[in-house]
Amino acid sequence: MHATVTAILVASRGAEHLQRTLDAVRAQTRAPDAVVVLGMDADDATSALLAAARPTRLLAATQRMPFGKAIATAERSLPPVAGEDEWLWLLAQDTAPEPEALERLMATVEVSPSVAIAGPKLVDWQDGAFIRELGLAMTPAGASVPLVEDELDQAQHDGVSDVLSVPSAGMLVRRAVFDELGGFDPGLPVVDDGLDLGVRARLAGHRVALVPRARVAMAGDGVSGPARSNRWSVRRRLYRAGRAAQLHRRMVYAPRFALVFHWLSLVPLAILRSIGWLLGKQPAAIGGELAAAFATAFGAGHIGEARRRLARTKCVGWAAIAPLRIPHTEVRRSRALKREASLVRQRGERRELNFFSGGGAWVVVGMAVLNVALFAPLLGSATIGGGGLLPLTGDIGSLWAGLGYGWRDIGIGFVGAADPFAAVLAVLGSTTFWQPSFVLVLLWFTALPLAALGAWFFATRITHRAGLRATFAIVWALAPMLFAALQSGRPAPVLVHLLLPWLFFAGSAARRSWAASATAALLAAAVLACAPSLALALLVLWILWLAFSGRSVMRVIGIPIPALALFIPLVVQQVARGDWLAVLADPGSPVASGGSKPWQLALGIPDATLAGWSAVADALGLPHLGATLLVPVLLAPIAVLALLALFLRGTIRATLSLVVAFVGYLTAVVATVLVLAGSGQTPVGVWPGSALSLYWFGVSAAATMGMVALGRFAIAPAWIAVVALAAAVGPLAIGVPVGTSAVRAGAPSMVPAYVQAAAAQDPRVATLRIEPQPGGGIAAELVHGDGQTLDQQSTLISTQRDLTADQRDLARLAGNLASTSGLDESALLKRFGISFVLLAPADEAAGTDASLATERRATSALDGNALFAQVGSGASGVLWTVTRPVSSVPVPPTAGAPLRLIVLVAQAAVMLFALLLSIPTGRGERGSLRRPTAAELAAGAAGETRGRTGRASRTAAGHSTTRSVPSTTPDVLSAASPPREPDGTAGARLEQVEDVPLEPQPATGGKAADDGE
Amino acid sequence: MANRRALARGGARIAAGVIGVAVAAATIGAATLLPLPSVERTPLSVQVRPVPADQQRVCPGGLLELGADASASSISAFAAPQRVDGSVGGAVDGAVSRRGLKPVGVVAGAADAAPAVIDVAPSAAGAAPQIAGAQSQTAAREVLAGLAAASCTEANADSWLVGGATTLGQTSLVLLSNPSAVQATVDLSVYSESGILTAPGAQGIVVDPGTQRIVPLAGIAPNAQAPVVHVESAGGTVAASLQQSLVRGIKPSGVDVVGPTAQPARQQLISGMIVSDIAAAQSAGGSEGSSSAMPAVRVLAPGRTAAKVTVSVVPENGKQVGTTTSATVPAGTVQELPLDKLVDGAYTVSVNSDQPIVVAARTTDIRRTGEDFGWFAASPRLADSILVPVAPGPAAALHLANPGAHEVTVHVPSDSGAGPSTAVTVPAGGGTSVALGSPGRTVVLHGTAGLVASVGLVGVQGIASYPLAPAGPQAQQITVYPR
Repeated sequence: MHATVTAILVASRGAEHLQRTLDAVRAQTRAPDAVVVLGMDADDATSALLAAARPTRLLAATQRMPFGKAIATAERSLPPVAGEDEWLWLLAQDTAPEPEALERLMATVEVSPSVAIAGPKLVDWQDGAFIRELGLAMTPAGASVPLVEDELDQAQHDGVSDVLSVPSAGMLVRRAVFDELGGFDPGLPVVDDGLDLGVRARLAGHRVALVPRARVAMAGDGVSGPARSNRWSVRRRLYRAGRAAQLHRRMVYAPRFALVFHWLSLVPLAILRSIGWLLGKQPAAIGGELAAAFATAFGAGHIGEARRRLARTKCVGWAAIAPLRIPHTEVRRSRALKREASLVRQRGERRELNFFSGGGAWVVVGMAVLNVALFAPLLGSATIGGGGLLPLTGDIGSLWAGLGYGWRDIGIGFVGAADPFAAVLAVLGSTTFWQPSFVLVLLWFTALPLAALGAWFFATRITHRAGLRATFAIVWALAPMLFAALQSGRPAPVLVHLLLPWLFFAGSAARRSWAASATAALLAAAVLACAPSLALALLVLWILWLAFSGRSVMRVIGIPIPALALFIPLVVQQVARGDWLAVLADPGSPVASGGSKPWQLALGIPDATLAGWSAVADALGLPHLGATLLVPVLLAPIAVLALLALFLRGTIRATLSLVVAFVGYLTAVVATVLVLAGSGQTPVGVWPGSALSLYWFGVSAAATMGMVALGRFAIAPAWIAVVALAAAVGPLAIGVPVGTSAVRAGAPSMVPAYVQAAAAQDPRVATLRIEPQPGGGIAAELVHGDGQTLDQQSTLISTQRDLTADQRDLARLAGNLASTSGLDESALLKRFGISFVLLAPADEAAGTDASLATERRATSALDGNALFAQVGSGASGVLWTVTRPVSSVPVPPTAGAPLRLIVLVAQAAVMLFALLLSIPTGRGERGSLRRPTAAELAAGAAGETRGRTGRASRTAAGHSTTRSVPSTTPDVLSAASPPREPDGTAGARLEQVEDVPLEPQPATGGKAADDGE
Repeated sequence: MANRRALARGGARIAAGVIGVAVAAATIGAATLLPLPSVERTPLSVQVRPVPADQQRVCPGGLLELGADASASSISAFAAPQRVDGSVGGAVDGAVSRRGLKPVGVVAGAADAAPAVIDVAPSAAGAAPQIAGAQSQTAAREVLAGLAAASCTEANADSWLVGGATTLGQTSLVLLSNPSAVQATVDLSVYSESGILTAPGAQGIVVDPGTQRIVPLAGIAPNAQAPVVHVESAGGTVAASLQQSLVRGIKPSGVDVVGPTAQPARQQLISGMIVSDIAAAQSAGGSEGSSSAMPAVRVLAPGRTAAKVTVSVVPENGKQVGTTTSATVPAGTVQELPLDKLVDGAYTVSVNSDQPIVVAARTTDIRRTGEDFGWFAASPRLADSILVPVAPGPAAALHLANPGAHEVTVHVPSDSGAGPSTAVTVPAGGGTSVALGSPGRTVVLHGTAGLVASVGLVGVQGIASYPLAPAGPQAQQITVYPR
């Protein structure tokens, strides 16, 4: 009997592809006997085209359906099955067969009666030289694997015939078998419908054949199979569909006894795989992974129905199809190939930085030596103090316990959100877990080399010239605001200065790499935690960055998330207080700063001391005007170079750098007018130094670019800039040896040794610390245990707008204790659990008449108070003990519950997410979800045509090297011309060319270089 | 084509550069020159008014005379001083309870010559009471002649006495009164023109409760021209004062009781330094070669650093121009800075220093009837209201000094208390004086915040002055910054 073919063409809104498809069907050398056309939710243009094609039967559906359902609908409209030789040819609007396609398919099935399904070679719509899909198979574990995907067609696969299955598009299927199998599985609407049908046909004893010579062009409109698009949402949906299909098939194909185990494993497996996706830098897949698992586990599904359908027709065992599965080794190999191809497309980020050979190590070592020399008097001390430096909590357990939300043990104590800075301190303190406070000493002794290290690495993004990289690193390490922060004992701005280059280093790669993006996110969170005043500046830069990031916007858009997670509890609390500005207050112990004028800020100096030159002028009896003129002159070379960069090559890069500087400068100016916190009587403004770090970063980056553009004339300006800068910061830098620094060896204990001994017995022992203020008032503070720590500080209390009833009572107690008073203080002492009263000395040199008078007044009053007995006096003040013992007040046991747990878990989850994503997983990214475009394939193929002798000869990780020119650095272009030297002498030039561990070798220079090796 | 593109690129660069430079200059210029709005939060504070407690003052008692026979260390009080006291705001207005202290080692004494403690209890309403007292005494004895006056002071753990001398003819006695219920152990540190003096007898002087101990300064610091005594007590508190008398040859040449001066500070103010008969002092100084008759300011920098001191003397009448003297006072040594070129009148003396200092001024009045000197101690700034005791004596006048930047008007009630009060305007940076009328009463002044005041007595009997301390300095409102 003569075989009949009914072509079923499913179309939706796709007029641009449909015409070619219709024409192609009409042009078949073996024309189908009937053409049934189904328009689903078709627009007018599509309907018109369909009608004009004059099909045998024209069907219309009002809504879109999955391909399988559409085919079933169309098939039902046909007359009943007449015989074995009735075939269905399944087409979609975007599958244009070549004229001989049907003829060749039929030729295959007519000679092999056991074949029930035959599939063509699906090629690219525009360029038929590329195979999009060719056959489908499964791994032994059941994951679907395309036999061939996105490859250049060199007839290398034309020998394949028997396969496990073929894609649904262009499939030729025996109608009787199709009916017997019950059509496509409705549980597989998008992905794997063809695979499943093929598997069931095989299990029913039929064969599935591949006909590579029959070629069908495919556009990927999404009518049959998934839509082919590189849009994020589409790719995410596709991943979800693929995973859901795989899980569905797993539940369908599994033997009955294993069902429970498979079901139980669905969600845990999804979570494990999500972590894998994070490590694999594909966070986009996680949503789909979890959604698919939950949908399969708890969704309605069609699993039961599908299992029955399978069981009905199954007549051979699974062992029968085992040879057609793809072994795992083969899967791994093809994955590795894909990864490499993906790396080729990413233009290869691997670049040797030459940290050791390029002088970076020497700069760091030099800065380390300078650092140790400048802070030599602090050597050997286990703790440092002074300024804003306080010790950290003694054990890392409580260091971490203070994060999130809960009891803040500062002053009387209250329940509130922790400063995000506490998280930074917890991480920092854990590095010296045996004594967390020691990390501050370490920080002070490594600040310069660490700053230079970060800056050097960032400089690799600006220039390849070792000298200029070193210049940038030195200019960054000798920055005036870094020394100002070190000398005034401000750990947070020091950290900002160390982290900023890394933030920009990671940030500049964030568009290309998830690991860099997550690292930038974590660094941004740390920088903001140290200096919340930078929030606006970083927000502006982030928005600019978003605007320029184009297609990789997703990698940039998530960067603020960890910072938000850290700040949300604090922001909510401050906003509830009606004081959102207070979020910007500096964390840590509040330290007042001398108001700097805006023109002084422009020099990068955050206080009014002119980097110590005012004091030098005083000491030498020089006029102040001299110092005022000298410092700008010394810092001028950097500014001149920065502005010069605008006039020279690389204007755009320089402009971007100067925009960073501009934003930093404005933030610094704003910081000087924000006085948000208070310490005793003294209002404490936001320190402009952190913003100046940002400013300095922009200026010195622009100056470096200026030097890059100057080419070989850059050496003299670089030397002048560095030497002048060193001279300018000299007086500030030597603050510790000459004793002008606030930082000194040994943490000043807030309470005397006597109280410390008592605190060893009872950590909650309370001391009322009274400190005379310059205006004659007193600051009264409750100190629990052996004194305050840096991690317990809270901006919630330093920026407080209203006093609590407890604080008013404490004030009343302190005021009466410092006066001749008729108050019986014992009730208040008992309520606060106060065992000691400490009168801190008003420094004779710095104290005012009023503070000295207040000190005498308080001394006299406390001496005359029968409730107290003087214990003694020391450096921390005069101590009285309460004669009648008072029991201390414990921390409320349920402080902060249940919010504390919620905040902790949420913050931990976000941080873990970012951390996992930020871990660089060895050999770059795994094959991306994104499929290459034809143009990208063509670009890759240009290289692949060489050396492709066969699959077996390839190695997974290519060892041959490619010499290509980094496109981002114009100054390298001249130096990177292909080396002409026969051997050896090429080395000097090769240093400036990146090494990419890729297999293909597109560049002509590569050959010569290989010879040289 | 390529040429044109290069040209365009060059132009764009120059434009970018010029714009960049302009933006940089404009930003820095604007930020420096334009007034920037600011957000400034003042630290939170609470004004705490201490719960009123008993107010207590100690009056030093009658003038003491060393035994007329040279052998004796016997000290006698020959007569009782004239005393005035009063209170406001206590349980009952004017209700002052008085008791005497037992002077140790005084062999004979007139009745009521003992030092007195005056007390007032706070009212039930909780208002802080004020109490004040003063004493004056005119002596005309063989070795003791002149006018002495002192205010009754609060017992303290720490006080400074600037005055006295132990050179030939000078007698100086430190009076330590312990009004409290516990024993006080007193350490005296005596500074002089040659530095701090250490003497075994100066440490650990026990003053029993309810007694007064008298310590001759000569025993601690013999032959000191310009001593300053720092009194520190542990345990109970003491009220310290110093009695100085001078005999030139056989002629008694003045007596005074010096109360504690203001605590060490960088700015010290003395109101109402009275210079009378300066011409006689100059001639006496010229003839006898003694500068001790010239007005002088005694300054001590008790710290570890030498003090650069500027003394400015502003006359109260405002017509004459003040004088300014600068000097460097080495740490720990006392210097007397002579005040030259003064004419008769009352002066406000302000001493500014870069280190905390203690000061007092001394003038001498040489009359035909006899010679007397007076010490003028520095005093702290007053609170808004003050109770002024007008000690019996000649021509009592209230001297007010205003160190502030704005003039202050004070209303002094009339003599009887019924008539209209006198408005006294104290110019900024200057001083003024007003006669207090009939002695032996207490006067309440309002609006005295920030002023410095003293009461001066000058007449034929001699010259004397006592400073007015703020009412209950230990019980004043205090600003507390809690955390």
